[in-house]
Amino acid sequence: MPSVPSVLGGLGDCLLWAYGTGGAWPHNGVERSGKVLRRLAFGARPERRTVFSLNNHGSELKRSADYGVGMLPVGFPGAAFSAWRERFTAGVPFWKNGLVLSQYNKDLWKGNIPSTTDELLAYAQANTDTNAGTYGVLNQHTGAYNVAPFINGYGGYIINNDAKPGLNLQATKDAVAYNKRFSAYQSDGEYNTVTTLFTEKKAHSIISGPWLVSSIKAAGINLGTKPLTSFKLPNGKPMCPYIGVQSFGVCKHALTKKTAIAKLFNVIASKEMGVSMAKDFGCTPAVSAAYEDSAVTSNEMIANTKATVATSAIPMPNIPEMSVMWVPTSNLLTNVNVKGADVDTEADAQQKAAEQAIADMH
Amino acid sequence: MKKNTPAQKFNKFVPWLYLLPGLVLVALVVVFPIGYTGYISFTNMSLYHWTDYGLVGFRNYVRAFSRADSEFVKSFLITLLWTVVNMILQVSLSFLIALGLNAPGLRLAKVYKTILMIPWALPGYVSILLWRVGVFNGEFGLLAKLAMAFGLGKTNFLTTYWGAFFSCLILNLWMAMPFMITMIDGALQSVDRSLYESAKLDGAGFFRTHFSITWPSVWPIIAPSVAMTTFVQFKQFDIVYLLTLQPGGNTGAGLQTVITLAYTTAFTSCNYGLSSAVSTIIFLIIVILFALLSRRTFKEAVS
Repeated sequence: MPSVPSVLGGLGDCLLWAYGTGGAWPHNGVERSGKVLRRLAFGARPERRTVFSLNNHGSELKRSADYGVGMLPVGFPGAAFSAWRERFTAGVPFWKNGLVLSQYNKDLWKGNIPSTTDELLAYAQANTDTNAGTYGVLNQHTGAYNVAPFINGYGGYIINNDAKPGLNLQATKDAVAYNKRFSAYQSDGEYNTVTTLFTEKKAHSIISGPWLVSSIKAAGINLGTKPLTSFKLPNGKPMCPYIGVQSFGVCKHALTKKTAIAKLFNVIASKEMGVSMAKDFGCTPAVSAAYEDSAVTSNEMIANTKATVATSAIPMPNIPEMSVMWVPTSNLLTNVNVKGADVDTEADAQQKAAEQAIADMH
Repeated sequence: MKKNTPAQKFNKFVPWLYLLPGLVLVALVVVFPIGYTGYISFTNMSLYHWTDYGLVGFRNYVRAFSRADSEFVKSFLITLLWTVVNMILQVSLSFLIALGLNAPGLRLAKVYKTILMIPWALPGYVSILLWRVGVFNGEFGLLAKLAMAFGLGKTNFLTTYWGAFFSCLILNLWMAMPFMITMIDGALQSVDRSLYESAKLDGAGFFRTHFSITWPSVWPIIAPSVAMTTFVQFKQFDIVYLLTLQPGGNTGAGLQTVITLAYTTAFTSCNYGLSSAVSTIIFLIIVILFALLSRRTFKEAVS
């Protein structure tokens, strides 16, 4: 591994930008990657002078204002990235992330883990008592990201790579209707509610991602996981979640620092970095060499995430229009699941809203 | 006509020199953003035209007005209702509480006043999330627990339009009343006590005394605060948005004020020209309403 402190010292005003594909924003991911990078780079006393991890809170945006990036609209990272990508000269994938897992409490779960979503639904029906506040299978049933595995698996889409919304496609509507059947057994579907129910051992399982693992372990739950892609939908196809790849990019402003950047990228893409991300933060490394380490391969969560990526997960469309799809898709799901709106009518209305939102971008 | 000496001429500018630092600050933090927003509203600045934007005339305003559909009218009317109901309740309840805090012989009045400041002292975001989870949450919230205790089943008031309206209203009163109580409490200290003694001798009761003496005495002092608070209510965003519309926590109530509607329809588009046009229109609506209300309010207060 190169002598990182000297490399970074030579970077001067180089700007590193951690970003995610599509609308998937690294959230705490950039914090994690930033921590590891800084620790590898600066040792025990991290110095944040030259390495920027752009996060959703905008706390470090101000520090990058000299590069013009400080004016980026916080909260629309995918769109922001696409619009600003001409500023980037290179990037390296860092770690992979996605809604990839059914996480279950081994102490509460009864019987075998199903292999179809119909069996999962039957389990939810049999093991949910809403008045008692106990649930079989939880999911954020009104969240577009969490319902995307159903929609994609049915052959529909929220938006395609040509920036065409697909909320009123028959396949999407079938998926929304199918998801509604689950929603009756999934409380209000709000993130705080469903995660708390699971961590307080009121729910047998939850559809979520690796980001929840630390909270689950802190709650003392005997956790088991199964890739979401291993559940077959009624159409015989597997669930198909979005997958994101968190990466580092470098501004074109930093072109004069090519040697330093190359060395730094070697560090970011190194086996040590990948292993550290896996061991310390449970992230699934993008660098394949990291999987030579037994600490990485023995991690069930990482193995499942890797398996999901290798099978039917699809990358979230990395287009600016993705950022305006969350509201109409969430409205569609909320109005159908909570307010009992007709799927066809609501899908048409939200398709129109999505098209209007995309038109408004220009 | 006698000419001013150079010293007299200079003295005329002295007050302006004293004001200059403050005026520069106001120009930078208030006037410039408004002016810049106005300028952007006439351009096509967006995600696709971040640096190469140009003037497009009134195109963004035409688009903004073309969006003034039935949903906008509904949100405008509900915003007016929200403002009126909030102000009536806020001023009347604050007035009664302030009177109570100034009741002769009340022990520990300062302690009560300090406790009443807590909602105001808490960051709004924290208060809203505390209420959302602690009071309104359908699984763990206080209201859900009470409903269960009374055998009503699980209830989430945030999922229906009027349930969300009144939930937001209660939270807003909790957060906003301390300010109004403080204003009225301060104003009450200036009321001449001898007037109450005279009223007592004349046989005036509680309502007569406070309607004819207290209220007319405090109104000129609190009128500016009432006017300002009115427009804070009109541009309400955070409570409605965070309680019912937050991504990942959309309750499906469908409650939209003018500002939340503008945010969810225009601001999320990354089209800064259009967003600025919407902002400018809302700004002008507030300025016009403020001018009308202030004129009336201050005239009444002075008379």
